[in-house]
Amino acid sequence: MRYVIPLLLALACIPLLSPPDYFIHLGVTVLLTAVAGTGWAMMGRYGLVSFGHGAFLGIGAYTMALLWNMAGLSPWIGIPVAVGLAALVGVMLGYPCFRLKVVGHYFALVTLAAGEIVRILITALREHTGGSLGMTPDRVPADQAFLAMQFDKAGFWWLALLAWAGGLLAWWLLDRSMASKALAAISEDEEAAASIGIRVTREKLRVTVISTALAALAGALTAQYRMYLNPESLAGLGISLQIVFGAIAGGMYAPLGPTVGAIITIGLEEGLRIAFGTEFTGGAPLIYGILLVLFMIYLPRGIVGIVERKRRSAAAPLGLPVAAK
Amino acid sequence: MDPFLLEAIVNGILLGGVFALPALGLNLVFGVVDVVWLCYAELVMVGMYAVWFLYTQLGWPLPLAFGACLPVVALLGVLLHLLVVRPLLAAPPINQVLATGGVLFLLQGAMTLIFRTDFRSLGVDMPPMEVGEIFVSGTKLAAFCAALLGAAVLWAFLKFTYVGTAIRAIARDREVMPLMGVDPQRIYLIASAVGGALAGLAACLLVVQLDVHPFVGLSFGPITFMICVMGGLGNMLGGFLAAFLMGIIVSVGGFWGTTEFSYVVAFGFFIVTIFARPRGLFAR
Amino acid sequence: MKAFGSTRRGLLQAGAALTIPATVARAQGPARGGDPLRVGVMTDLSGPFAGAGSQPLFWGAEVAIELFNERGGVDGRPVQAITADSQSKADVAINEMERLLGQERLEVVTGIYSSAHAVPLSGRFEQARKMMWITSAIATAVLKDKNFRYVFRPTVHSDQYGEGSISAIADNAQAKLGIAPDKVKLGVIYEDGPYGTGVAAAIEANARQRNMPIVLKEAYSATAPDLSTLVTKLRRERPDIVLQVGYNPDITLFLRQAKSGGLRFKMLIGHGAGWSQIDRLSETFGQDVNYMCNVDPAATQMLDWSKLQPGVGDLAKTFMDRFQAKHKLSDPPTHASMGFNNTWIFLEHVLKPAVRKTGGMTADALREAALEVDVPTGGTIQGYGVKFAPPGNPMAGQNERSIAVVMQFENGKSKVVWPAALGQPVVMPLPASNAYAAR
Repeated sequence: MRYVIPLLLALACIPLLSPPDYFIHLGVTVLLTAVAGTGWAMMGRYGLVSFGHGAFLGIGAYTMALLWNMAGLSPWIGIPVAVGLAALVGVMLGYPCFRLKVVGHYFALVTLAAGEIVRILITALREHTGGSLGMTPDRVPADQAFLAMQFDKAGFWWLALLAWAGGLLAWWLLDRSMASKALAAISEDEEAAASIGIRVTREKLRVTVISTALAALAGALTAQYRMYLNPESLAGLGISLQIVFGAIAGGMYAPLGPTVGAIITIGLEEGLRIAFGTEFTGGAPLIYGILLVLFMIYLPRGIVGIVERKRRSAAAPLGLPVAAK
Repeated sequence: MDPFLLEAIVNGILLGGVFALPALGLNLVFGVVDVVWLCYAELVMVGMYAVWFLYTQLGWPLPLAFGACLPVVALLGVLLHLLVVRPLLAAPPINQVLATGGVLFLLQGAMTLIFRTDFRSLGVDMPPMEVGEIFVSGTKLAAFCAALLGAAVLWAFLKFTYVGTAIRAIARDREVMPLMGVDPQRIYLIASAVGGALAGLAACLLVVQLDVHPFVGLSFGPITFMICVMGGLGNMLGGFLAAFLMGIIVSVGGFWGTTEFSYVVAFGFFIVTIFARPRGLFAR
Repeated sequence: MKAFGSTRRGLLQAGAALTIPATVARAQGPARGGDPLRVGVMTDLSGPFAGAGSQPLFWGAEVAIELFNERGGVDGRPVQAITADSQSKADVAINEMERLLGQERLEVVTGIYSSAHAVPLSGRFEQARKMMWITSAIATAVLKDKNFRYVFRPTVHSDQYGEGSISAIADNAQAKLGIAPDKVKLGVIYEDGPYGTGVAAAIEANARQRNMPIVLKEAYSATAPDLSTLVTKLRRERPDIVLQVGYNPDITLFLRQAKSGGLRFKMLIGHGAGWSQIDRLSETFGQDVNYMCNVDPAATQMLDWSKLQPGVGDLAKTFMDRFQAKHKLSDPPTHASMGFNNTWIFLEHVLKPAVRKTGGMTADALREAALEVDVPTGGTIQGYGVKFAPPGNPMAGQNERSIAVVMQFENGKSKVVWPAALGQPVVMPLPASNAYAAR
């Protein structure tokens, strides 16, 4: 933890060195993807594998943008509202799941269906959301840019950095709390945990709220940064799986895992696409797929997982939660 | 009864026949190997390309192309098991699922490289049938019958062969395997091959209705997974019946509402079903 | 592929940790001295849009740049294309744009197949004061009331599609169908992507204006595995004319299920995209698509080249020869013509004068030149002229002389049937020999 503050300060200084725009852009994208991935891993590491986190990105982004375009409500207020709404939806979906013991693959598929419903609704309610053509938040003159949260790349770098630090802080706080012990016990054996007085549903809901809130925050900031929202890139199966891939490849048991995963997946996608250029289209996803398979086989705990394991190889933590089943 | 509504219901049942085969294959693999093949729809896609290639490019007769498609995809299923699933048998389920998800990208990329991104189609059609006031597509009816036939053959295989019995035993109780003196690896391989062959059969039925392109799996992939889960993962009969239920919901939902909202209704129904029966609609 | 190659110079300069070595830099066309003029070309070469017309769009642009360089470029300075694949994904398009503007430092990017990419990109180009030259994305909403100054679209916009089909129906309803135009029942079905949605909205607006009843208007996902319920509903509503906006997979599925579902109509009008790929449709449906109609800008081979402005016919012929030699399609899709034509308009009428006037190619110089373009009707290989709506106009940046025509398939070829002045009389209703003809 003591490295964190200097690290954040160092990262905050990056825009002052005036790096190329493209890299700041990738940096912002990585940070926001990392926020979503960190959120996902909050649930994932306790065995709550969601394939529908895209839904919460979408709810966050569209709530914020609709409030701004229709009611003129600044994103500074709109984002907290959007995050709250996403967390509420998360609870509405999570509560019956947890009460009725929908777990493992069943839980994954329920969230997948929920994610698809959100995507289809955004597309079908095109009168309000712009449908698949997408929508753009209304721009304001430069002197009101701050109130409307319309910054340049550097501004969003700082904002994204703040959100990212917030995600890590939430992770750290959760790890310190009794809740994390309870959750670890639950993911180990739900019945046993309940029998020693752990309130299973409540603990799971707590982590769901944090997780969906972070996803919504990432979605809203991504939309505001791009000044564009569309259902394909902010809801549905594609983006949901992308978040999961990043978190797993980086390592979902370590706080920095999803961040490393975001760097790897986005770096790979950009690198492969540019390297293959426009002549061997199809080569990029081919290699990407192979690398993912290799990652899963040879680095099952993710990249950061390897490092972590070496560090505390002697004292195993309280049982490694197994994701599903 | 409104003949148009009746037609929508009939179409829903026929559509269920289309979903039923992949649902059956996925459930078989899951029941035996305990792994979800996230790339199952992409295996079907490869099978569709195989039929298209043999029929239109090499000029094979259609039945022969269909016949060749099954072993091709079965082989693919075996390869998938040996190269990807086997090293991960002891890994957490999420890793298994995502590894097969990597294969999804791999297959889409490979097909893009080999066959480009053009939409391909067979250009064969069967005459429609008019029964009273409703129309029934000959192609879909044939597909429906083939799905039933495929299911029946699979049932006979599971019921009357030794390997089939072993597979059923394992699907019901994993622990029993070593006690029976069966080599689990061999059973896994056989199940993967049969699961692949079912994907191949599904490909034959779909290729006469849909254009082939590298992303065609998106058309029926997600809903197939939901059908499996709705029927109860590993529960082959449950998945088979759930396919028809889902087909009718999509069809009638689209008839009363709009085509887009029919999927909202279907997915919503799925979620509610799982809340009501967390182990699937037909859980024992 | 001489003039083509995505340079990775910028990327490597910035020290990106690429593990794959950059491929060998390729020759830059028959250079005759002078720095190459670097022009971005961004299209979707993978993903679902590639097969839906984005690939031929790219090929057309490729031929245009090669030909331009062979003819000496701009006074000996060749054009070098910096290519990018946006993979049919909006977020990839955004990333590529940042790379092209930031790393490659381009002043202009051409191409852009999908409107869902054009919407976010246009805002950024405007902000960065770099030029965006849209050769395909048609949604009217991309430009409408945006008052862009750096975004130009030489091709048609979606409102014109609706205008084309509805006018063609209204003009012919009484004479050919014996129905008053405001009694012709229309069924509108469209894929729910940006393309289908935009065109369907235009169809509805135009039909309203003329009081034509729309008995069913419904969207579906282009990846839907089944459309038979939609067919049943259409059959219930009995439209005289079905208007469809879609891509190949959903057109194939719809036509198949319409045939087996007993749906019959007096005419079917498609609207570009999948419908412009007549080669594919004939391959799948043979004679069944005979006499169906399609709205699109004309592909150059549909026009009578002798009626174009002097020299334009020769250009069209050169393009067709080269394109067919390279890609072996009997009837190249409209997108091939669009790719060539709209890129050629940029090279010949914008880039050339701008470089000659200022010696360089800044976005501002290009913009000035674009606003001065004044090509009369018949001055391009697709038959339309070029004159951009100036800043202040609600459609600023749109080519006001673009034309969408209605064409009819006849034995594997497309023939223009609307506007009446350009083409021949339409065959309507579908002749009884057609499998879909209402009896």
